[in-house]
Amino acid sequence: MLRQTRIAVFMEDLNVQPAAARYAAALAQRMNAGLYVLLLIDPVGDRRDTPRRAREQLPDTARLRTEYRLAVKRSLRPLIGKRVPLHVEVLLGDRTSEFLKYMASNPVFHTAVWGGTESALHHGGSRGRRPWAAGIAKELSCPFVVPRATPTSGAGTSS
Amino acid sequence: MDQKLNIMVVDDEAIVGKRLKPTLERDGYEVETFGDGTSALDRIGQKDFDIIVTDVRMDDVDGMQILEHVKRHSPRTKVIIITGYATVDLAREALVKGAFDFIAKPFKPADLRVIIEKAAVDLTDGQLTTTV
Repeated sequence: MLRQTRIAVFMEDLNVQPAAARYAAALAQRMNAGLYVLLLIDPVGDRRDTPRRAREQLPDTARLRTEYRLAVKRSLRPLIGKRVPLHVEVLLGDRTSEFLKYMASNPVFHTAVWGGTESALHHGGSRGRRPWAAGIAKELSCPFVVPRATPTSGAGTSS
Repeated sequence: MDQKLNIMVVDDEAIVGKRLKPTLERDGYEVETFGDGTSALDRIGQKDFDIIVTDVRMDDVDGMQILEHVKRHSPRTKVIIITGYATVDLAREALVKGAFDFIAKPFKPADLRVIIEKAAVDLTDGQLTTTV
């Protein structure tokens, strides 16, 4: 059985960059591949939560995942069209850790596309931490593409 | 019966145990901290821990050795790996060897608390399944 070629799109919130979505969709169509969108959300964030709140989050994670999955599909479909197979995975928790665990247990990708803003790759949070997304490229065994919107073509790339 | 779960924290960076101990104790756990793998293994020989949070890179005995030892001798214990040298390969190794979870440093204590809470729920569910 032939395994479908996979194009990954990494997102850290619901604001996918249209240039990234269009680039990934065009590549997927050309390669007859599926789009695997990985949305990494840190629901705890910097909040000082109580253990009770942490406990209360547990039963909600399934619902949260479903809601995020639907929201991603709603925002992506108009950008990528109906032909490209779309798979959405929502990971909740520390983004670096969740990314590493996902990559550790999943097949390799043909190409990975950054779906967030380019600045998110270079600027950390309020405490000046190194942004989690900056470490993605060195952990991937495939090309990592950061599409840029250009006035003429709509999407350029850097990697 | 509401018995406290026992947690062991192993990290050669003293600040990690110092910060986690009071936080986890406030959450209702009994916590012991160790600054090296050897004394942690000695203690594991004397007492069964429900959850072990261990760093990977330590001078004498590393976190992967602790994980392997615990999984051999106490399969029900949940081992959570924390590391400042997180890579896909290390995450894969930890999960293959039976780690309950894997978290890259620096992490927010709240993220670890959510993972510990999941481990606690898992332990409780396991108990219910075996006693019913």
